[in-house]
Amino acid sequence: MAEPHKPTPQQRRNALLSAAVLAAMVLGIYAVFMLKVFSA
Amino acid sequence: MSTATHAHDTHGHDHAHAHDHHGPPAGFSRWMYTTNHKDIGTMYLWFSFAMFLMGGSMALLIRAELFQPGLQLVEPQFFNSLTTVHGLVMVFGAIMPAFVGFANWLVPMQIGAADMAFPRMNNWSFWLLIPAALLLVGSFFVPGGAAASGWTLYPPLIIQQGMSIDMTILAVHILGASSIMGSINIITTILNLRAPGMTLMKMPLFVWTWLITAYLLIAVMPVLAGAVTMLLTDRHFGTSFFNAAGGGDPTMFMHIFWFFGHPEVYIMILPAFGIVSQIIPAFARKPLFGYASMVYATSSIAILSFIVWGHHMFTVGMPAAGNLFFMYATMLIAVPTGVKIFNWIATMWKGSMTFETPMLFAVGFLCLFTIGGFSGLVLAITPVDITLHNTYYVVAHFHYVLVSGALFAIMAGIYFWLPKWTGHMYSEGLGKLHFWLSMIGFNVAFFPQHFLGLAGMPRRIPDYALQFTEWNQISTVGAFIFGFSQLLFLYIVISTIRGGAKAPDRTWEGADSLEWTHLPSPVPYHTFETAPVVK
Amino acid sequence: MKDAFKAVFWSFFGVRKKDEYEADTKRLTPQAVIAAGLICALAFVLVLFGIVKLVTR
Repeated sequence: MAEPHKPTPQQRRNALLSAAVLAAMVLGIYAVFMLKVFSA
Repeated sequence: MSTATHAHDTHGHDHAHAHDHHGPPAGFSRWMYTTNHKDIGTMYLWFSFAMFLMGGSMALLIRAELFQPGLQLVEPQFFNSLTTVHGLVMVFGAIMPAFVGFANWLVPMQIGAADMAFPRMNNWSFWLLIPAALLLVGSFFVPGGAAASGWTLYPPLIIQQGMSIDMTILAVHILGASSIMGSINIITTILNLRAPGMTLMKMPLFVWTWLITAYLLIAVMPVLAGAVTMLLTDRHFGTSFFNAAGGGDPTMFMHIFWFFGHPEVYIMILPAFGIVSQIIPAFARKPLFGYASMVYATSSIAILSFIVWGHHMFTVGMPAAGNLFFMYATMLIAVPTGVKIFNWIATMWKGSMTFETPMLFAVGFLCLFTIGGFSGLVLAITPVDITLHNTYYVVAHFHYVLVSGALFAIMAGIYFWLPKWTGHMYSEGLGKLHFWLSMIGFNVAFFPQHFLGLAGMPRRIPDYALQFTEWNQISTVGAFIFGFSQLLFLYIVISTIRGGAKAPDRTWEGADSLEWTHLPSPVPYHTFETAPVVK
Repeated sequence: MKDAFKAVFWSFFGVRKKDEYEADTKRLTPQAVIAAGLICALAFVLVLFGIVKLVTR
């Protein structure tokens, strides 16, 4: 009873997917910016 | 989203808790290894309060030095370090973590989730703050003293100073990583873990503002990280991005920094809008006026925040067309912001209002943030900014936005949710005293700085011309009233945690989000053992 | 798609009529709104830039 309810497997999959997309956004912005300034 | 599921839900919790074997472990390991969003939220809030007192002490040292013209207490170099680290500590150590603390506590409860989507990453986001804070504050004790370039870290000063700069750069990197992980966690939680029936447009406005804020963080934190990486390579690896002698350009840093810096301003104010949008309807006992408009206005403020950065640098020598573009864009961003102010006023209109401490802080926010917004409009006018740039007028402006804006909203939120968190009522009398001391102290400290700026007193100087003395003395008195009244706040919070009258489950009768309607006070360690159904 | 642009236009102003908004929640998809938002933001920048060019001519 005192255990919190767990996210459903579907929610877990979606959560991992969203997190992966967001992490890719972060790394993408940083990588594009750094490649731009360091390649010249 | 009104009273959706079972009213008896609240009582079920109490019973279950009496013989609960899954409570938190005792002692230090509870906090070190915790993955509970409430514990992590609490740690964020205490961390930010500690940093607030630290940055506040630096501010009081600054104001003490400025009590009289001439040099009395500190060396000029140390004075510059104080202004720099005060800014960094308050922005990255106090305001931002405080809002993340609120997000940790409230987002899962308000959307009906059991916890954040990634509890272990949540723990890591918090614990990264500690080494960053140690680096930032520890840099005072290394040879050459702490960074003295101003919180904006402008080259060439930042390239010339000693090892404290490297510590600051590392601290900013770590804080950025922490913010990014926090934002990913918050967005993922909001998008995926909402209770059945909790559609996006039924979410409380605090959750909405944090969703948008988190996207802003995702977009600009990598830019800040890039900017400080370039500083690092300029300092140690032979590049000359910002060094004119090597063919670089210091103004490029300003552009990159403010491309981060202006959305950062909205990162610090949008969650404040969210908190105030929860509090004002609760104490006016009316639903928020124009909920959808508020969501739309918040989104458009977020988008527009990316195209106004140049107003921070009207004086560095942009083409006239650039100055004009940023001036127009900045003026236009006032429109959705003004709409929000009118929506809050319309929410209070003909409501049955009462003025408990959270509402006092929220109304104080409304009045003073408007002043800060208007002085922002004044500074947005390019020709006016050219005379006011780098004066105390700017200092007055952004303290009206960040202290009476962001900080007052944080205080309002603490008083609002403290009964829910601790199960005890705070002392209303002391809370009101804290509000009035803060309100008076703040205005006495910062309103005269408008006059000083208009008269031409530059910012970031330890000494000044004699004609500025009187307003500086008044400002210092106000700053000390404001600063020391925060110790009263500390006392109120600690005594509320330790005891006090029992808070009802729905402490504020007008509050209608899930944490008030579905959960007892204090909230149990694990909430929503079964997901609530929102109708 | 026209409705999405209308919604985004009003969002830049920060105001939306209640019944219009309720109609929006039924007929709009998030993808359409995000696309319209990006296009409108770009259009906004270009309009501002045009005005600036006109003024500094």
